[in-house]
Amino acid sequence: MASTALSDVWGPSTLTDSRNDITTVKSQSVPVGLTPADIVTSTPGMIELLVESGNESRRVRFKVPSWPGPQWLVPSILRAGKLLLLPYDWNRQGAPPVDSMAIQIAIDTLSSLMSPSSSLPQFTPTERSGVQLDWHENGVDLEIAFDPGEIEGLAVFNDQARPELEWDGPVGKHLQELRTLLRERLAS
Amino acid sequence: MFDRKDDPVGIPNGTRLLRRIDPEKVVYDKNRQERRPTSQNFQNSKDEPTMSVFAENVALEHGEVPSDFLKGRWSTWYLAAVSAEWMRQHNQKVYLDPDNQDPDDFHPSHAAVDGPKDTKTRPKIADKYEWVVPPPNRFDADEG
Repeated sequence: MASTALSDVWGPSTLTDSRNDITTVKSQSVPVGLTPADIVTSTPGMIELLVESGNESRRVRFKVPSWPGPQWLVPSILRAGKLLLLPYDWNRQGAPPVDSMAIQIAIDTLSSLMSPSSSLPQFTPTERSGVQLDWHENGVDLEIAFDPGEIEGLAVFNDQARPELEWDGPVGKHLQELRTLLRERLAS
Repeated sequence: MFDRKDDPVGIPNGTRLLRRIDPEKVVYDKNRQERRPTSQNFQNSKDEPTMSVFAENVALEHGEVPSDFLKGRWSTWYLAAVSAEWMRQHNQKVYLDPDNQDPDDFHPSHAAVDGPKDTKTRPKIADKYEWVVPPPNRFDADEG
């Protein structure tokens, strides 16, 4: 099974969410943007993401054993944090807020795939209030979707110059291909 | 729900199908050098085997223009087009579906793209998008 293969190779060694708090706080204005100063705090071994939207506060803590962690980490957490700001019915069709566990699994997955020079993915919500990571550069289209309740992401790869090489499937079945892509093609 | 048939007469292959695009599901594509809809925009409606679109040929017959599809709660959304032919090439049925709409959001050109849209199919459908009403920051490379 793909999930077994993934856990054998990659455990949550870099990042874990220890609290995953969602707290109701007094009503306040919605922040217009996220900056490292106002939502991400870090202490050795821990990064905390706090986002506030309307009268709700959402907090996710990431444990980082190898301090200060890779360069892509904080920018990725900031991008992911924007999704946590989306309110109920963000898609005008009754969608719940984005699932913070899906974000955590996405960040954990990145920790097993990214190289120091890897390009950052773009974070957008999925139709089921999970998170999708997109890379579209150097003739490559790669997306990995993490939906609520799923223990690993589903990836789709296309090389525009060589469409016969396309593949799709669980991350755990394509770990080496993904690592190579993020080291050689999706990198600065 | 009864089984509906593909309608290549009412919606010929050359017809552009207009799809509302969620502003939260737009990313910058360095290959195309513009912002583009993610594949998640091309998903079936919740609990239904269909995706809502507007058939441009019927819209023109009824005097509907793109801005008509982006009113009210959709006013911050964008509009992209994919051809009926491309949908059919990915095992989708395409037919007019005017009765399956909210009464306060009725459009004669409302149509259904009927068929499974799995993880592999959605990116293929999205790959042939054309902007009709693009985001104002269409060429802004800031990926934020």
